[in-house]
Amino acid sequence: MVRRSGALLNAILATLVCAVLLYSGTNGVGPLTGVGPLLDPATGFWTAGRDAAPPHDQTLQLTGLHAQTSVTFDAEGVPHIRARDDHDLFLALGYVHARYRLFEMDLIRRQGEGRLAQVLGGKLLPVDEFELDLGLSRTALKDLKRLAPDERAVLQAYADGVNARIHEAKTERNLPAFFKLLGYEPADWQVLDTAVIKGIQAQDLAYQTNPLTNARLVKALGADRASRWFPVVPASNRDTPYDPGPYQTAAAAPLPAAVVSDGADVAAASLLSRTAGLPKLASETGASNNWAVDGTLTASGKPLMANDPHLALNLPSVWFQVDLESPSYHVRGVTFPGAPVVPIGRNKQISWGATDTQNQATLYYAEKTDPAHPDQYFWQEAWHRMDKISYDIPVKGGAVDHHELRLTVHGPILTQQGQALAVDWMGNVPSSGLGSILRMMRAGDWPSFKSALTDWTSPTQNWIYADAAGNIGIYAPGLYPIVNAARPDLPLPGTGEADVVGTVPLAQVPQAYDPPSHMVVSANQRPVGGAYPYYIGTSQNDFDPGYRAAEIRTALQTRKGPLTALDMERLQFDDRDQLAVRVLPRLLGAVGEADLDPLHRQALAEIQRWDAVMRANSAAASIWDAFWREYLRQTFQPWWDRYRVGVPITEVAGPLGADLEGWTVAGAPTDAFAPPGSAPATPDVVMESAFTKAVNSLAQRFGARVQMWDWSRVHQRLIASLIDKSLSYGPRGAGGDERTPDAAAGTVSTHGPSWRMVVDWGSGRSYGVYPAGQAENPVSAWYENLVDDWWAGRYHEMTTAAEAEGRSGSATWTLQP
Amino acid sequence: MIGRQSAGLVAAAGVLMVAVIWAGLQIGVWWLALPAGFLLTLLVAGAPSLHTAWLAAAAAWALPLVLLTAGGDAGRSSVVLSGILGFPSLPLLAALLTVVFGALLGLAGGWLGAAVRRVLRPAR
Repeated sequence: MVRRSGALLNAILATLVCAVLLYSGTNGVGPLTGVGPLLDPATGFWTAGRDAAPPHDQTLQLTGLHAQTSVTFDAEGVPHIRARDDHDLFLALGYVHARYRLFEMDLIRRQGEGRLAQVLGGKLLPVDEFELDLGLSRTALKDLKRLAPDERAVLQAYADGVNARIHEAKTERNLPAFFKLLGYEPADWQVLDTAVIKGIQAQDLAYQTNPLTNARLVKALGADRASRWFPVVPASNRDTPYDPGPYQTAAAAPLPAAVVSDGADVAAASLLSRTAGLPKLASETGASNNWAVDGTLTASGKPLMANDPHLALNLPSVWFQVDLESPSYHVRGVTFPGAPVVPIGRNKQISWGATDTQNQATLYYAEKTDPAHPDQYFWQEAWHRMDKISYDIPVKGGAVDHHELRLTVHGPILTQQGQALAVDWMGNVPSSGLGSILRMMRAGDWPSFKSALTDWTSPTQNWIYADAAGNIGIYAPGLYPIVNAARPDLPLPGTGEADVVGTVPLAQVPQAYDPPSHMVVSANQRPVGGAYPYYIGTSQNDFDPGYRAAEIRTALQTRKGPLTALDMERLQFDDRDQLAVRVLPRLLGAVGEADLDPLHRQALAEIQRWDAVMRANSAAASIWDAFWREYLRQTFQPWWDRYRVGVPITEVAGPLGADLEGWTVAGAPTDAFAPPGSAPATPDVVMESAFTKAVNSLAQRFGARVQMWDWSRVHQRLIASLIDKSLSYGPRGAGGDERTPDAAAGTVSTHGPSWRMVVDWGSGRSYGVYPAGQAENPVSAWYENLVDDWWAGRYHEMTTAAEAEGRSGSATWTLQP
Repeated sequence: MIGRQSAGLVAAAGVLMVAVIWAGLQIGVWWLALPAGFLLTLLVAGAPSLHTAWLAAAAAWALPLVLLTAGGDAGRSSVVLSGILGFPSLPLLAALLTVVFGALLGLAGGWLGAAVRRVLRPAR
C-alpha cells in the first residue's frame, strides 16, 4: 500500500514537472514567444544565422520582373539596383527592402494601422487606439486616389517585390527571427501600407500638441505673461531666418490676449496625458540641419550641400541606403523601409535634403456639445450628427478591444474629458506626397524641383537644394493653415467661426534661391522674419530657438578658406553651444572669484578657459550644462510653483531658455527675477546661486576632482533596439547637446543625426553614413557595422553601381524573371 | 509493456527517438522530446531507458546546432540569443541552454513514463 502510494506520488510529481516545463516552454515573457519555440534549433532564433552572411554572387528568380535586373551590394551592404525599366527597379527595391528590413516594415505599418497590440500585447493598446483615432489609414486610402497611375504603379511594383520575399521566406521557413520570437507571420504587403508609412513619418514630424500645452500655460500663467514668455518671434531667432523677406504683404497682426476655460484646460490636460504614452515624436524631441553654399564660398567653385536629419536613433535604423538606376531614375540616397522613395539624396543633376519646418500644422477644436443632443455637435448654427467608426482591435493574450471613434467636420475627437476636443491635423489632408518625392527624384533643375513639390502638403519640410549647374536653394512647401481666429495657437471654438479658411499661398511659403549671402541654412529655426505676413506658430510651437542655425551660419561665415566637403562633415560634428558662447561672459562676470572656495574656484577656472564646445571629455561642458539647467530652474520654478503650471519646465525649456538668454545677455526688461512672494533678484544673483548649486551637485555625484567631471559621464547616446534592449548600442558617453549642430538632447540622448550626407558638386561625389547597419538581423555583420564609422565621422562615398562593382567586398545578385 | 531489455534494444529505441525528435524540431514541434521520452520509459523498463530518454533528446537538440556551427552561423546567434534571454552574451551559453532544455524535456517525459509504468505495473 505504502509502495503504491509512493508510486502515485512519484507520478503526480513527474506530471507536475512536465506541466511546468511545457507551460514555461509555451508561454513567453512579455510579447516574446515561449522558450520552446525560441530555442528550437531548427525553426527558432537559431535560424537567424542562416540569413546573416553577406550576399555572394548568385542568380535568383524574382517573379514579376520584366527583364534581368542586377543588385550589387558593396562592402557596407548598400544595394546598387540596375533595372531596364522603372517597374523592375521598384520591384527589386521591394524585394531588397523586405530581404533586409521586413520585420521593421511590418512593425511600422502595424503602428500606423493600429495593430501593434495584436502582436505585442495589451500594453500597446493605447497606441493602437490613438493611431486609429488619428486616422493614418483613412488618410492613406484617400492619398492613393490622388496618385497618378504611373505613381501608383510604382507602389504596386514595390509591393509585389516585398510580397515575393514574404512568400519566399514563408516557403523556405526562413522568416526573420523576430517573427518567430513574437509567434506570428506577416501578411502580404499592400500599396496602402506604403501610404500608411508615409503617414507615420508625417505624424512623427508634424503632429503637434503645442496648442494644448499653450492652453495650459495661458490658463496658469495668464495670457499676458504666456505671450511674453512664448512670443511669436523669439529674440534668439532674429538673425537666422533663411527667408528674411521683404514680403509681399504687411506683417501679421500680433496675437491678442485670450482666456482659456476650465473645460478647455481639463481637455488639454487629458489629451496631453493620452499622448504622453505614445512614442516620442521627432517634432518634439528631434532637430535637423541642412545647408548649402554656392561656388563663391567653396574650393571647387561649385556648391556643397549637407543634411543631417535628427530622428530617433534605432536599431534597425529608420533609413536604408540605396542606389537606384533605371531609364527614369539615377538616384543615390536613403529610403524609409516600406516606401520606394528617396527623400534625401541626389541624382546626376541635383541633390536634395530636408529638415522639419515645425510650423503649426495641428489645430484643436473645442466642440460644442449638449446632453440634450447626444452624439451631436453644434457647427454653423445647427446641430450635426457626429460620424462614428468602430474598430475591433485584436490583442495578443487578451480579448478583442472594441473601440469607437467619433468625428466632427474638423476631424476625430481625441478626448471628451472636460470638453470634446477634435483635431484638425494637416497630415490628414489627402495628398500625393509619395508622387511628389518620385517627381523630385527625377527633377533636373530648380524649377522642376519646385514643381515636383507643388502638391506637397505634410509634413512641411525645409527642402534644401543644390545642383551641378551651381545653384542653391531652399523651399518649404506644405500646408500652413490660415484660420479665422485671433489665437490659432490655442484650442479653437468648434462652432464654425474659427475654421480653416485657406493656407499660405505657395508663392509665399518660406523659400530662398541663390541668395546674396551665398548660403542657405535651416536647423528647425523659424524660417521667416518678424514681418512675415502670416501666423505660422509661436516659439512654443517647436521652432528651434535658433542656436544651431546661428552656429552653422557663424561657422560658414568665419571660414578660414574656401570650403570643402571635409569642412561640411566637420560642421555636422560641431559641438559648439551658441547659448554658452553668448551667456558665458555674463556668467563669468557674475561669479565673484574672491568669494569662492577652492572647489568652486577650480570649477570657475575650467569654464574660464573653455571654448563652449560640448566635448565628451570636457569637464567645463558638464559645469555649463548643470549651471544652465539650475539657472532655468531657479528663475522659473517659483513661478511654476506659484501658478501651479501643469506643464513641466523641461518641456518648454527651449523657448524659456531663449527668453532667459535675452534677459541675461541683452538686458531685456523682465519681471521674471521677481516672482510673487520672493524678494526681487537680478540675473547676476541668480546666476551666482545657480553656479554654486550646480558645482555642488556635480561634486556630490562625481567627487571633488573637477577634472573628472567629463561631459561623457553626464551625457550619453543610446541607439535603442526596436525589439530588445540587449540588442541596443550604448548608452555611450558622447559630446553635444540640444543646441549644438551635432544634436544630442537629454542626458541619455535617443534622437540625433540619423543620416549624415554631404554632396560636393565640384567633384560630383557624395558621402554619407548612418548609425546602424543595413540589416535588421542582429546576427548579421551588417546589423550595426556603420555605428562606429558614424561615431568617428568616417563617411562612406555614395558610389554608383559601376563604382561599387569594382571594389573589394562587393557581390551581385542577378535577378531573373 | 516490455520488461528489462538488452542494451541493443534500448540503443535502437534511442536512435529512433533522436530521429523522431529531430523531425519534430524541423516543423516547430519543439515539445516532442517529452512524449517521446514518456513512451520510451513507459514501454521499456529500467534506468538505461531513462538515461536514453534524456540523452536522445539532448542529441536531437544538439544535432541542428552542430550543423549550424559547421555552416559558420551559430556563434553570433548564440551570443545574441544569450542577451535576449537575459544572460551574459557569452558565445556558448545559449547553445548549452538549448541542449539542456531539450534534455530536460526528454528527462521529464522519461520520468513521467517510468512513474506511470510503476503505477500500472508495481514491482513485486
